[in-house]
Amino acid sequence: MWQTILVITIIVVVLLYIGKKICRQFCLATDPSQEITCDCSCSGCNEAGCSNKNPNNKKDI
Amino acid sequence: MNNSSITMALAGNPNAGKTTLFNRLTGARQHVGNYPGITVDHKEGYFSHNEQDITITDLPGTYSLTAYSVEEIVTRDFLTANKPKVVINIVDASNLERNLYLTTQFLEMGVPLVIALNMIDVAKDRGIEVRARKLEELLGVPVVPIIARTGEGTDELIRQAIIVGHSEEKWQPIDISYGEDLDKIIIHLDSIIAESDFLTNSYPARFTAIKYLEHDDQMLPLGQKEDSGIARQLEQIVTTVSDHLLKTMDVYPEAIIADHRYGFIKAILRQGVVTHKFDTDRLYTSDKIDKVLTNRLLGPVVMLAILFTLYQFTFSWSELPVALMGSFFGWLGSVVDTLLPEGPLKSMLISGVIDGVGGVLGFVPLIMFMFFGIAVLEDSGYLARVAFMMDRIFRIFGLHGSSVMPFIVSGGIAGGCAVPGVMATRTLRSPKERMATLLTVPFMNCGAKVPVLILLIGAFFSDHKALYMFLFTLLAWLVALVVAKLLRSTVLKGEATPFVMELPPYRFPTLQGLLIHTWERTWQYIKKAGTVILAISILLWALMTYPGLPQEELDSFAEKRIAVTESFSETIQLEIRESDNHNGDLSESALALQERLTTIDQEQSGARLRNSTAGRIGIFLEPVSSLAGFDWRTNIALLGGFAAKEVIISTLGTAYSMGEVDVDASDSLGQRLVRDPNWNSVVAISVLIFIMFYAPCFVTVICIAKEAGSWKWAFFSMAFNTFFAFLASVAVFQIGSFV
Repeated sequence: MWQTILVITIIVVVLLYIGKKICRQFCLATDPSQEITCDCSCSGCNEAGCSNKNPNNKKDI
Repeated sequence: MNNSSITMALAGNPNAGKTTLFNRLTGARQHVGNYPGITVDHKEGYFSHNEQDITITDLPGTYSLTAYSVEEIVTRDFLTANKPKVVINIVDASNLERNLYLTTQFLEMGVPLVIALNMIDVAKDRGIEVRARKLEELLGVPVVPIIARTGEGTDELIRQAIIVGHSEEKWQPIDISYGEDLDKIIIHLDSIIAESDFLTNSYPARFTAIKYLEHDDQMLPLGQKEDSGIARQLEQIVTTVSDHLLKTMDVYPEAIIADHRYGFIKAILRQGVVTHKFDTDRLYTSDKIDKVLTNRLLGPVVMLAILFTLYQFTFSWSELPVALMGSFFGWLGSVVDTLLPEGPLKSMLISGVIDGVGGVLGFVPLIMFMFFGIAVLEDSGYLARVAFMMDRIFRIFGLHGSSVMPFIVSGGIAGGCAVPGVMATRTLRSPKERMATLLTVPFMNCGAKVPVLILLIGAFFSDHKALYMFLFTLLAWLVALVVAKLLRSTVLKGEATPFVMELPPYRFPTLQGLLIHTWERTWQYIKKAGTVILAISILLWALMTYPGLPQEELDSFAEKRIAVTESFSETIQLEIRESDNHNGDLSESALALQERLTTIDQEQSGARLRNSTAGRIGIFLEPVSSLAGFDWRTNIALLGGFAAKEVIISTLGTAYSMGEVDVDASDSLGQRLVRDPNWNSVVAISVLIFIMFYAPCFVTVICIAKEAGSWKWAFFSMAFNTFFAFLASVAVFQIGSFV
């Protein structure tokens, strides 16, 4: 029984993950600027709190 | 010092080293290659220098600011819309005259400029000495010698850029003389533009006047939109001037403008900015190498030899690590089998995750060796020569020389990706040539198709792996070119446009650069396998598992088991039960009973897989797909491949792990396929051809829609490619089976 519950949970998480991926691709298709903005939002990155920055892309010289 | 973030832009000619400098400054890993046209869109990065935050944008390489190509439009639009505080213009010190052509246009636009005199080491090797101070004095902007590859001079460059960025001066355009006749007209146009405030928010009046004289494709409609009356007046003046120049001098104003810009540059360079230590006609090492490598006859032979050697190297060096990876995943499966009790989680982990994703990850060593070989070709500058040599062939098939690079980026040599390949078509100016390229680049063997090719070639043609890989690569090119010709002769009919390509000098690749490039691409492959492919594998496992068998069928298999077991004596049954616990040696009769029970288990697994959602879809398609030799399991894998091509391997791995085929846990997927009676070498070729040419993956389809500006072409690509691939597979299977 516990295996069934765990498998259902994993499948739900996977479905959400793939759904988000598909959503993101359609966002990118409609507005290419999404590529360098927030994670997945067709409305872009103008909302308050959105840093619009990729922290991995920063370095001190 | 003011600590608010400064915006900077990196601009320059293609292959001048913008992306190299961008990566060095920001620590980003944008793809850098020793061939022009890598950056087709702008990319933003962040870094700080002496506590000064800096936002920097890497612009696409461009030779001018006249709107002939997408790169030129992207660069100019960025400068006018974003007005960066400073533009760092990277110029190739070994090719100064041509690089300064763009600089003159920045100066005419009046953008705050700092010149990065890159590749001074290369210039020195060629006997060219550039006096940066003198150039700075003559142009009136800071000039800093740098070597972007090593980082030499970048600190001083950024220091100068910060100073310019903090100066509050307005954009100060310079005036270049275009000869007495044109100067008068420019002054006249300038006064009309300035008086009516026509586009002055975006451009200096004189710059707009010059762009009108150059018949700039973007400026004219922009002017119409701003004020159609003024725009008409300017166009009339320009038409009169153009007609006059054509009649009297047989020349267009844009040619005169270009001549004068070069004249301006020559005048500067002659004032002691550049001195040549060697004879300028001397052949550089690169030219000497090119005499052989791009020779009309010898060049293509060398190119094919290099390609074959690459595959030979990849297969021979990766054999052992690939076998070790296979053993590792086999061991992992047996560990999970021992540790977990029977149930859906165990099935998901073994059949969905280990046999599915493990199949994809098993090829990591091979992919790594292949990427290393490609990195050597790319970093040395040889790939640009491939593009140069392919131009002649491409013209025959109605494509453009600039189409070659998108083909290579998409996996022309194997291991690329169609998504950046589709984006790289932006460098093509003719919309029809661009569309033909866009629709045919997905035929290349991208990094996702490569493991599938390797799996099937390794399983069915193990004696000549490199040769078959080589032949399938040539086939991909041939089909792409034939389809392009078909498109260019029908729906995309149109004139061919001329092609000029700059050949970068050969450079000796650094080990660090090769390792970074290899690792970047390999990591992308691993990351994709561990995320998207894993997720899709789990979903496909669910589709291959549910709904389970109805209770009556389960009961029927249980009855069969009881009947078979009871046909043997109590002692044998006890021996089997004890062997489950202790793995002891079995007598002959016990082995016979175990074999019959295993057969019933496999029959039950097969029945369950056929009854599952994916199984039903696969079986539904079988009457049609069998024409090409595909059984229902292959159909499931090919459907999964629409999401991502690597999924074909993971799905086959899962299907053969769950089905009724005689499975030994330690067998690789390739061995399982070879033993399956539905598979043989003809089927393998038919499947390979279908995989190479059918609909591009989901992400590429979206990218095609985005780049073509219409879903119509994306759907065309899916439908046409699948139809074409199926016809080709049917032909191969039917002829192959007959022969």
